[in-house]
Amino acid sequence: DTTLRMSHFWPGGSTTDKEIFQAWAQAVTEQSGGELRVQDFPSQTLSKADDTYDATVRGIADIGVTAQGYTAGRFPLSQIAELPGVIDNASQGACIVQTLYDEGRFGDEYKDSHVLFMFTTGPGYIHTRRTDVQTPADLNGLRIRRPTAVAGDMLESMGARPVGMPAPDIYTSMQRGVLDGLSFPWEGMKVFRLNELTHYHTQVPFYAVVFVAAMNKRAYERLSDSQRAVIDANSGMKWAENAGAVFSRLDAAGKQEAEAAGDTIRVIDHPLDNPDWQGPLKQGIEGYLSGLESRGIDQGRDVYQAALDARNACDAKAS
Amino acid sequence: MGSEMIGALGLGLLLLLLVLRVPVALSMLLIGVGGFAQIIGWSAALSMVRSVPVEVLTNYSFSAIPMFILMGVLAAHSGMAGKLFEATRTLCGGWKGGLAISAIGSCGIFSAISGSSLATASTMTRVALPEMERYGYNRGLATGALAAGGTLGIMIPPSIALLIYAILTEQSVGDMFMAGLIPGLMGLLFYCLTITVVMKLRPSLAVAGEPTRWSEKLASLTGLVPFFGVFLLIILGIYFGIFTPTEGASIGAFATLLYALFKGMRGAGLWRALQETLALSTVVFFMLVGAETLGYFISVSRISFSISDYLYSLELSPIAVLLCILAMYFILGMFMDSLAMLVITVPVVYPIIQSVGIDPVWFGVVTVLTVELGLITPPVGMNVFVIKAMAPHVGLGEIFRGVTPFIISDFVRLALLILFPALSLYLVTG
Amino acid sequence: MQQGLLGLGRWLEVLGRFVAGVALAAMLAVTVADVTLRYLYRLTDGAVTLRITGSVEMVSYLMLFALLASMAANVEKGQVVVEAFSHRLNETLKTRLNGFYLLGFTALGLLVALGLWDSAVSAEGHGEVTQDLRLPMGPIYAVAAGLSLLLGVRSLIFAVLGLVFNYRVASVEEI
Ligand code: NA
Ligand code: NA
Repeated sequence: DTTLRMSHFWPGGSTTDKEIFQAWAQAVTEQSGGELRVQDFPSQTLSKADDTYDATVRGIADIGVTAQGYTAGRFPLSQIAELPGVIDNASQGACIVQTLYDEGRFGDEYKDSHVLFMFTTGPGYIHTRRTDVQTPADLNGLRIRRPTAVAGDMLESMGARPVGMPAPDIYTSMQRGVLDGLSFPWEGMKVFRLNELTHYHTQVPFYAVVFVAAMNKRAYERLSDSQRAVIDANSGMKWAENAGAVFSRLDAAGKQEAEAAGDTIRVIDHPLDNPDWQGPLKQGIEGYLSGLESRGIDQGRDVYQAALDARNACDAKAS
Repeated sequence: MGSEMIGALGLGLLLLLLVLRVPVALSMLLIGVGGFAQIIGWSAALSMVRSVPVEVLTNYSFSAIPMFILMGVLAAHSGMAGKLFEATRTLCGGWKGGLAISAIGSCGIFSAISGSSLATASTMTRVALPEMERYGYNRGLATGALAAGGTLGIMIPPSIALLIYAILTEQSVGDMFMAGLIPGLMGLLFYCLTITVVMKLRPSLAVAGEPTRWSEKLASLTGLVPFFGVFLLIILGIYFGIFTPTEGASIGAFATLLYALFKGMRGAGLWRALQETLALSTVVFFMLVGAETLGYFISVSRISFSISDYLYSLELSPIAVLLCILAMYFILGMFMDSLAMLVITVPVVYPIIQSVGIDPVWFGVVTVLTVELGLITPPVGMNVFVIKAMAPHVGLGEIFRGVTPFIISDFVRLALLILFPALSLYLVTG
Repeated sequence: MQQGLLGLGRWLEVLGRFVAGVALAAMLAVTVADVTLRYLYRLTDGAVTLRITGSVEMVSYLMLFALLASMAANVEKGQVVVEAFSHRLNETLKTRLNGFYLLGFTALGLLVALGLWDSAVSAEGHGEVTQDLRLPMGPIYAVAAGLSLLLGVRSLIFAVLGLVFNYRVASVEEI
């Protein structure tokens, strides 16, 4: 039998760890009749989050799950799915990125690994301690922690001051007022206990984070035909959807927590059609796509359009 | 051979290397890489060790370490620290062991702005050790008090360890910090009591100071002004949200730099202070790189999994499970870095704790206290190594002997925290 | 030969110390400037808009340079050794052992240099940039690779000095 080491950064025993990765491991083990075993390494215990994709390519981990955005500039086409207007919820997001990947839209960004499946967070929103953010003008000068470079660009074009900061520092920085707010999907608000500190939530979907579960190429090729069949059966849309469903549930729970605390929640569902919000967000999207063109990556606008098409297809499939 | 076996063997071999006088950092590196290779393969192991130094050296949270060291070096070079201890000597007057007590107190104050035990230990050593030596303190007592005092940083908030525990177990960070406050202050009190007891048992270890008059005591307070000025700047800056605790280290260093400039320190002196800071930081970071490498090996060996599986199979009562887990932490703590240990084991142990119905916040506090003990227990005690690096002329054995009474005092504190969970939970709201 | 090696070792030490000292001073300056400008912004209610972006990542990469250079400059002196059972070893043996163990750091320095060089090439190929300032990662890795090489080379020099010439580094601690 074969043992596969799977590395990811979510806390061990967290819902994400249990319901996505341990569940995947269990499915693979059962369907292979115990021939394939998967060791789960949560909490960056096998590789750090921003090194996980490389660690997988180099064979430290057989399977690595991480955010493409942690190595800025390396997956420019995949990160197009993070732009505003694409992802409304995590289930849809997973469907979109998996569709784009299956259609071969991401060029050769994953040529050095074997991709198992992709998924995303739900849309990221703005959460503040004291400021009721109703339009981008309310964000002017606020120090907002940004998760990835793409989200940082959006915040900047909305007038906020994006701050890069390690996740464990967020809580104390919020508590002490070094940060005025942060951007996270609802799920992160609950997991990192940040609902305790923020009282205003502006539910304006302006980014999402894309994730990939990738396998080391040699580790994949080493498998017997029957083992490989089990891995293939647990790759692609099926597990993208499972992961998306888990994130959607977590988002709902995170939002519920804020509601129960009586926080103020402003909802801007379609910011690209909203006169207050569309300006800076469209400017941010344009900035990202023209940035790609200046790097000689010309298919960026096509991929953005393909993402919008995939989104409609995914919505149609879901309803 | 199973990976758990390799893990156990690796820890044994680590001991052997240390005995053979292999540098601590290199021992951890070798065992980490070798063990990783045995379990996973050489190409992956070499690949791992290639990336670990960059991972450690670009970790922003660690940037507080060189800055707190710089603060201490500048405080020492500019005469600030000398003044502080002149003042505390006067304040304690004829008290036996007064300087050690004030060193512990300073560590406690320092902990309230520092999330890191290593930063606390290294800075206070720079400031306090030369003074204690000047007044003829036994070196074991002096360094032991500093090594122990440094561990206060892990419990008195803010604490990186409690924060990591809270995130790993999805507990409230605010609750964890509040839960750590009383146990942390207890540690401060117990360490001071420990010194008093040691003085009673072995009066020769420290001299009594000359008795001082109240007017002298009052006048000496001016010596505390620059020191507490920097402290206040950091504390107020953090509490009013002007900077983060990590940035606070740089701000403190900068304020001390201004003081040094005011006292006449110039180019060459400043360059020397920078170089001294770098040399001391290097020692710490070599070991952090080693500890990180070793941590990956422990992680893939799954040795902690088999230990907890075994515990689970014994069907013990909750308190027995707790004691077994703490015993495991104590043993692992002899060898491993505290944070690496938490990150690797808590996810494994936590489900057991939940299943037998132990309060997670309380468990977090007693776990972090046990992990903190690992910083001062032989053979691998990071705080002790840091002090050793700062005071090359003091023997490691001497420091470990000096720290023993404080380890005993920590056991008493741990027993009280286990017997009276309210000590941890009283301040936790809800 | 011994004098030549010593001279080279000392010269490389000065180089490492220079890089490390400048990088450490820059770390301090970046944070102080960032905090000060941020505070001015708050004090003046947004009138002073001058600011430092990406201070966290600047500090991170400056720390990488400072500490790699400093590790290179201090490797032979910066080691903690457990001497619990080796009080009675004679000095010559200890010196040769120290030299031998420095070979371990030679290997570390060369391995890390190689790894960083690979990373530099691959980052350059993939167009990887830092999160905030969008600085290209390639040159950052390349400089770090050079400093790791310095660590490897200095370790090797003092390994040879200790093993072959029984040259004793003054500040390796005795217990
Ligand atoms: Na602390
Ligand atoms: Na220990």
